[in-house]
Amino acid sequence: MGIFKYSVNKELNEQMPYLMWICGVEQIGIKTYTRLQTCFSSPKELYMAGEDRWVKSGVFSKKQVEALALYKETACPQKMCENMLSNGIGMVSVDEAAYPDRLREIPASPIAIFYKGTLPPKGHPSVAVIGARACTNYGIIVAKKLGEALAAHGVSVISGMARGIDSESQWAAVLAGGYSVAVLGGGVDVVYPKESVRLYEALAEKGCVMSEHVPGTMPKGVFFAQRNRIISGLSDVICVVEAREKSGTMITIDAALEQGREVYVIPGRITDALSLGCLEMIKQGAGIITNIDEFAEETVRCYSYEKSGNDITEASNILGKTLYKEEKGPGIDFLSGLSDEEKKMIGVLPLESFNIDEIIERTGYDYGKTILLLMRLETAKIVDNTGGGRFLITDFGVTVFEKLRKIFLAS
Amino acid sequence: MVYKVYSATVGGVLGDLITVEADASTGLPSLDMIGLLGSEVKEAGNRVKVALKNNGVSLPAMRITVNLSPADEHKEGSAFDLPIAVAILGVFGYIKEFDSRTTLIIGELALDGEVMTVSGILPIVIMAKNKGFKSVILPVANSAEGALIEGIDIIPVSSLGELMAYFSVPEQERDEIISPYKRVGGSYARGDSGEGDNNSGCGGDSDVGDRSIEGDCNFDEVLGQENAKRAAMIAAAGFHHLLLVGPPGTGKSLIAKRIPGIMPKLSYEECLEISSIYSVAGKLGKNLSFVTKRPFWSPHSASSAPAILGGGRNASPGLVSLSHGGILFLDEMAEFKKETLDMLRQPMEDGVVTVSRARHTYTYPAGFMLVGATNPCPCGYYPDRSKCSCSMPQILRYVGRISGPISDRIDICAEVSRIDVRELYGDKAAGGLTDREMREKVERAVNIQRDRYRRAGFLFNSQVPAGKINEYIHLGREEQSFLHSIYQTKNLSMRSFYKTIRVARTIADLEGSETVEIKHLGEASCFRLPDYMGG
Repeated sequence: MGIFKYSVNKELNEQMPYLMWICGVEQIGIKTYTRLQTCFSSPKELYMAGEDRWVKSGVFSKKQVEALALYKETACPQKMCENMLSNGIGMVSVDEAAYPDRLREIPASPIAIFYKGTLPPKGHPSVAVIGARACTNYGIIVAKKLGEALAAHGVSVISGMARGIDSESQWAAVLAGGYSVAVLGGGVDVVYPKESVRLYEALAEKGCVMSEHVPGTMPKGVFFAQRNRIISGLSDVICVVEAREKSGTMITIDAALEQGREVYVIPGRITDALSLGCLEMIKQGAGIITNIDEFAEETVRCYSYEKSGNDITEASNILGKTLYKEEKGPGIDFLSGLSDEEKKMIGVLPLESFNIDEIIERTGYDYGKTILLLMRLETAKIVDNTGGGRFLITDFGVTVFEKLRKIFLAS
Repeated sequence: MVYKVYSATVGGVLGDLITVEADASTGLPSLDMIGLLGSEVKEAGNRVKVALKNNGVSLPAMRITVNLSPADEHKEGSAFDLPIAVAILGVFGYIKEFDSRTTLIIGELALDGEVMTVSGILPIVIMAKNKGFKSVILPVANSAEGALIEGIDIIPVSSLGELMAYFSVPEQERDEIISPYKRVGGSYARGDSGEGDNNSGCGGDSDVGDRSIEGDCNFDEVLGQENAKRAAMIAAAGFHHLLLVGPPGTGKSLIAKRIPGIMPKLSYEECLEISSIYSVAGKLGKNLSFVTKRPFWSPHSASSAPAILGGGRNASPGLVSLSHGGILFLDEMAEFKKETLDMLRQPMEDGVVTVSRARHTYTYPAGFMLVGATNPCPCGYYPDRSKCSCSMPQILRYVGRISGPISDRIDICAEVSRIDVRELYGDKAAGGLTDREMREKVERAVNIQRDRYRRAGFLFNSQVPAGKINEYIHLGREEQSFLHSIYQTKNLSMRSFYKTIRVARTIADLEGSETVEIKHLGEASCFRLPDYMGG
């Protein structure tokens, strides 16, 4: 690729608006784009040529010509381009050096990507963390831990900013000072889902949000399936946290396998609906993550290419590592400050959200005592009171539990 | 020649005195009825004529005029048949030794002269007694209801013929024809309610004691569900509106039905008030003549707004009024029409409901405790993600049908969890507290509240207005900072802040604690609405 002999800079140069115009035509993919170079010397020439020459060139199908003509009529490339730049959105085409190398390798690479923030650093390990939107608390905890651990090891976290696993892992990565990319299913300036707006802002500032669609494109069902190939394309490893037996995550996995990416999953119990997808992948040969830190280290070892010296990630890498070492988990003081009853209760807390009755059943304590203990754990941020008598163990709570178990086994 | 008798109708839950007068004059034979009458009252003329004929009274060929006064008040209902018949009999001299000025007459007539039952007897008899009437003649089927009021003779009639015979004998012989109704087993024991054996006053009396407080269902039949049971007890103690959330088939209605049984016993005055509403709505009859048990009504989610709020042609009381002093249980609350639910707002706030129709505006009591039950999401299993794959917007839309104004007024929310089959068949002692113990605790808490609010114009913690919370519910410094820390981390609204204080006060009252402590606040905060319903 890289056949057009020009460079599109971030400034408003001559070709950029027309390239954007091509990107705006859904019917034109990378194949047509490559083919059309034989007849047209630049995007501008293509734009100016008009319907007759498009047909004559024999590059386009009838439908594509119609789409091109329609889009030429309705869109004003210059204006679109100006708007884009004034909104702080960058654009990089497949012909440019700055285009992510890994995306260039995949079949059906996007002609160009539109982005906010910093493009993924080259030669840097990256992991896609994906999974169900309607996920369990267990899934959320694992996604958070993964995001955090990957960030701490300087690995980029790629995902789709969707509800559930996607956004949880990305939030964790951002909060741990790491670098994360969200690939959107609509224009890069269209926040979807809406409740992820704060994550979107954080990523635009500290990481990257990108899309192959021209800014302003509204999200559509098919776009999400298509953007999944970019998520896997950008990553060295795909990690699935939770997936139902028939799930959208599978589309990403198919794309990933086609692109030759490695797939890892978080295993689960065979009775959990949200683990069935993961288990099925294991059956088909996916790798299993049993220890998150180990997984992150392994990724760094296998996928660190020559360091191209990207300052931002380098910095976040160091920052992340120190944060990780110092602040990870509760201190000994905290643990020894817990009473035996509290420890017993932490030991029986389920990973899923639970209500008071379940705890009464598990501990055998009476109602009053259970409430009192739960309140203490809430104050210690080990559980979260979600109202109606229902509680949730926090990821901090899980860490405390793991630490306690280690101490118990050691003694 | 005018003959006058007294009858009555009900407006709202109060009796209204109506004078029925008849006159016979020469002219074309006719029966004219005047006095702003509804169509069923106009038809009374025909019923009366035929019933009189069938009892051997043939009216002379005269022009008869019947007037019901006050003439500017719209009159409805079939209770005027009997007084009209008596007035006409009086005009033609059939009634000799009867003082119509001290007797009130009510009843509907069948064509053969049988006297049929009517609704609203209780408020009418109360009114009659207050106005100094000595006796009330009423349908035999209503006699038990009327006899609830002491100090006035109840004369039950079964037919027009019987009544004519009654009028035709001298006063001292009348008892042989119809003896005044005497309550079997004595009257409802007034004054001893609220203490002692809870069956006193309602037990033993065949037509009154059909509903003792300890009904056929008890909390000890509910296994596990400590959380929901506790919530029910707190709700009953502070008269807090309650929402039960949980998957299908976990016993939400099971719990709701048992709540009236742990609420304080009704006082005589309360019974009378509730019975009056029942009477007006025509719910009192042979099986139930006096309400002694807290009402429990559970309308179906397809019920119309007038059915729930009151209305209809006669602006009769709806379920919110019938549930006065008891429970209005809305099962599958999210399935109700949003408009219907939103209309509960005003009665929930004011404890009364005003029903206006073209001709009437009545205010009925509506001091009910709302108990709602709902699934957490369309499929019912959220937050159990292994079963529920409802998307978050779907869930929010579902619970969003219980709109803000209503959920704002619900103080307590409890999850009803799925019970393990193991537990159902296990020998686990359920809860420890029996209904009686629970009710005793509740009654104690209610008395504490009554004491606290004796000058305030309300009775329960749930009714303390936000502006007066500081005045009545004192929180220590530590407690305040505890509460603030919860609300800051959870980012909750001021309204739910106040709800927690009210509920914590009730919990403290249940525990017999003078001050609200951190543990009370903590427990109360567990009973707020789930986060996805807006805390």
